[in-house]
Amino acid sequence: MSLGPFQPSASFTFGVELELQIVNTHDYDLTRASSDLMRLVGNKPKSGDIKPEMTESMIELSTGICTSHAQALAELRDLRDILVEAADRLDVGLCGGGTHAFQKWNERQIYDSPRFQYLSELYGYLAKQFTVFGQHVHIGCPDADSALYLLHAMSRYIPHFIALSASSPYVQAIDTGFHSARLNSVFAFPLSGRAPFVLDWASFEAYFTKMVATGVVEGMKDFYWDIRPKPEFGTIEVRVMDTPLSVERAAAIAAYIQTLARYLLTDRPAQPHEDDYLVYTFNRFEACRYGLAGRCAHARDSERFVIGEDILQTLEVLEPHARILKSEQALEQIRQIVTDDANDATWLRQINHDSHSLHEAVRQQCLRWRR
Amino acid sequence: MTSAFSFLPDWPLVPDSIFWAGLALLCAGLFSELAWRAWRLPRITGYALVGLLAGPAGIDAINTGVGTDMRLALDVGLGLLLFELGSRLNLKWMRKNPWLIATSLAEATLTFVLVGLAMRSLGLPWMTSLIIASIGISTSPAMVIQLKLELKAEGQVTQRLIALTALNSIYAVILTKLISGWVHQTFYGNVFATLLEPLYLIGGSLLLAYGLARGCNLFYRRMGWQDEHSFVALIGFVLLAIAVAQMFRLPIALAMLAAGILFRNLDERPQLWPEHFGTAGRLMTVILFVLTLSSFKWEYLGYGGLAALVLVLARLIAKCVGVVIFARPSGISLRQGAALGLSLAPMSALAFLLIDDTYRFYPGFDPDLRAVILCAIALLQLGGPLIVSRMLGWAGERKA
Repeated sequence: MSLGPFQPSASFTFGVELELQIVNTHDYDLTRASSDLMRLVGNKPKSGDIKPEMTESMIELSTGICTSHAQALAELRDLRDILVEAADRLDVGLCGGGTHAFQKWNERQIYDSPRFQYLSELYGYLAKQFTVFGQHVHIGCPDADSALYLLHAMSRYIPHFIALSASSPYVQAIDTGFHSARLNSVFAFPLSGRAPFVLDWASFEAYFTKMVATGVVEGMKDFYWDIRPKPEFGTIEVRVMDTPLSVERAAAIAAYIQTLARYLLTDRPAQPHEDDYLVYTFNRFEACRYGLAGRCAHARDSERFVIGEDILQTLEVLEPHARILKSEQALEQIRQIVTDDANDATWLRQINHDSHSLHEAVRQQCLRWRR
Repeated sequence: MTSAFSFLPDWPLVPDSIFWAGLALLCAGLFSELAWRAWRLPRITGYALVGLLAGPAGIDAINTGVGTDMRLALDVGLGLLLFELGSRLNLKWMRKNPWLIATSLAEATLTFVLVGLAMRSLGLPWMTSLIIASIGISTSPAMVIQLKLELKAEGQVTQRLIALTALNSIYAVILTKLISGWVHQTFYGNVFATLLEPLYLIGGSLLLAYGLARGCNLFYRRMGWQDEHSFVALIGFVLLAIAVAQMFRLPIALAMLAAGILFRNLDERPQLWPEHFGTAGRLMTVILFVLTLSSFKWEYLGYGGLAALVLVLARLIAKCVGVVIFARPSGISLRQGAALGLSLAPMSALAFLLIDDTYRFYPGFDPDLRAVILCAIALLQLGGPLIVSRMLGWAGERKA
């Protein structure tokens, strides 16, 4: 399979994909209803799309190509309402969150399609443990080289996205101590991590061809990178986020990434360097483990910065770009998350602390998803 | 006469009821497990078979008739399961998807009418036909809950099976009581008593149910639901409620089912009963299934067999049609609808208790009622689990 040409797309357009949990309303464990939901929402007119996923307990919604925060938010709200209405008819709950708080992975069933059966065969228990739910954001790029530049320039901000969206403190009914435990599941896969450091499309194609020749991969979908190019869309896809607990937050984070992309591509504030990746996995870990309080390292000196403070500084730099893209409101929401120290993981811990019940916490997640 | 050897047992040895109970449980546990491993036969079929063999239809080891002890065991076992069934019914769902109510009313009404007419056409008296028709409405709550757990079934068919079973069990209890009210009239000829009886039974059960549900809600709030030990006290609650129902001669089935529903719906927060009340509850379930068939006699086949066969077929058709016509509007496919309709087939302990009640209040009632219902129970307790497990498999909802 070849990589195919990079189809240029309008700069700073973006699209949002959200993987959702489907739970029952009895004990709020994961349940199976995605085919039933698909049947009910299949022919509803909508901008954007709703698709089944790897297990019957997951469903994915995605917006069309958006130019503004307001548009993405409107589309996400529409899709959410369509899905919630269908879920009500089936007596199942829908919610965000990067992991299900207490589901047992050994009880999960892998979807009965050849590809999923193949993955299950290949990865063993990892495939089942991979019942995690993420937000993906596509950013449109005018050409292939800008896409690669943006991909590597944006790597430095990966901890921001993780800390802001983190909503997976619990796995298998245990408080992991992490804000985003979901990424640990992703990290177990051999082809996860970051893209190779190449800045021109020809080199990237060469890398891809060599990898295909090894027989290890067949296409781009076999790479589980944090950010990966999607040539047929003409985008780069940021994949580190947990699915937030509300579409409002998902839209705000998407708009933050969009605005950041504009800043990086128009101002070109720094030339990416392989050495940037020296601290990449360390910083990523700090974000997963401590959320906004994580302390990241610089590649060039021994100073540390706190993720939350770094986000506030970045927001100032982004102001002029936000005005042009009309994403000020979204960035204000991002500022709120930081100043209130209120990412979704913190919220979930608070709910569990108050109610002493992860079942109740998942119910609250469902309620938060509805409004 | 006392002798030096009086420490030795009398000859021949007389095994007591504990012996037979132990033997029955041993066989039930063993057979059902072997049948499950060999043929994937649901375990409750095995329990029912042992009940059949242990009773007068077999070696006549457990033959208490419908003694008080046995009745109590049935009441407690079924009561716990009915509470659990009720606590899985989400009334909000009915409001959001009124087609479910339509489905429920359709399958229940069709069953009542079709079974009633069929029984009448076989020459049974009106009164008997109507009681059989009302009992026929109910799907066995015990089997549905047990099969859901055993097959680890999950999905729309399973979820709706639980909801429809809870609803049709309510209809069946109330209708049976209402129609018994007419019987009352023919027995005692007191109009006031006839009007008061169903009112007392239904109102009383609901009141008791409300008390139990509120009590349990409060208890859960105070104690926190993850406390494993709170379970002991909860069983105590349930037993007390059963005792109160008995003291006031209220239908335990209705009270427990309503209590479960109120418990679930008065407080939105998930309050989880340990599934099946843990191991103790599981034992109660086995006893329930064994005992239900232990009063079956072969002679019932003679005068109730044919009618029972007709009853089973009429129920199957009525329930299937009733569910399938509203399948699409209620949000499931026709295939799921057919699977759901046929899954409503099982009959067991609840039907048994309903006829038992009828004979308790009106000892002279037409003996055909017992013959027909017991034959139908025998048929469906053995065949029902197979139908349900096949249907849930067909709908793709089984995990075991």
